[in-house]
Amino acid sequence: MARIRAKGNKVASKSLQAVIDAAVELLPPAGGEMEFNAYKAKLTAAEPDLARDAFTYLLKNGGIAQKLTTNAQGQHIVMLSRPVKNPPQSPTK
Amino acid sequence: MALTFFYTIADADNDKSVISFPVDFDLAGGSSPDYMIKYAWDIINPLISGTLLTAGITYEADISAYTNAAADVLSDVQEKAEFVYRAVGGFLKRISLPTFIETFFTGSGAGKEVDVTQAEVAAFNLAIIGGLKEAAIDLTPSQVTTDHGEDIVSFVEGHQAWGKNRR
Repeated sequence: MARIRAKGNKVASKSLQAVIDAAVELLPPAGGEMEFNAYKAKLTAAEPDLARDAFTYLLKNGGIAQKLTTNAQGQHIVMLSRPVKNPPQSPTK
Repeated sequence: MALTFFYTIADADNDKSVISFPVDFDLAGGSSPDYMIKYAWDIINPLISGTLLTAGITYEADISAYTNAAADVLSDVQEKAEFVYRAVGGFLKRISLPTFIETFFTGSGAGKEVDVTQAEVAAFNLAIIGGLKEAAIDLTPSQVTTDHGEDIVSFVEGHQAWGKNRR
């Protein structure tokens, strides 16, 4: 797990995992969507140090639900939302 | 409409060679490509002693109405990005994009990995993984697959790659 360490090892600020957790909370509540670049700007403003690492992790590991769609101008854009958690499996026996 | 018919032939040692020729084919006409590929094969078959492994078409579209631009003066086809995807069964599929825009690598171009936090990169990955789908026309995605037909299911990585310019 990556950590930011200031010189002299005085500050061990947020771990990458903490930023990843916080990044998910920046998404709209369940059912809502946010445009890719709008979310990226919001995340970068909130977590400037590890925004890229956290965003990369979430995108590559399914931590953010992504949908490719077309806007009113006909451009292909990506919308982000909270991941849909798998419902608990009912016992089969 | 230019369709290129191809037939992969193997000899007794399983060495392969491809026969291909363009056909000015009318897709709106009465014949299906499947039928015409088989028809042409029935003409070729008596001439050869090998076995047929695959047959098919490549299709050249009319790009006059596509969004396009003159090549950037600094663009080079040798400078590529290679995207690696995982398919059903664990197989890998690599897709290489020549003249890849350098700022789409990490570090605004300084790095060697494709930056997945760029919206354009994310859109490409989604289309490759989720299938090509134009909501206004057809809601059923056309799934991108490996060369052997396994569906692509996830993005593994993208990195800077170098290739030939085929001069």
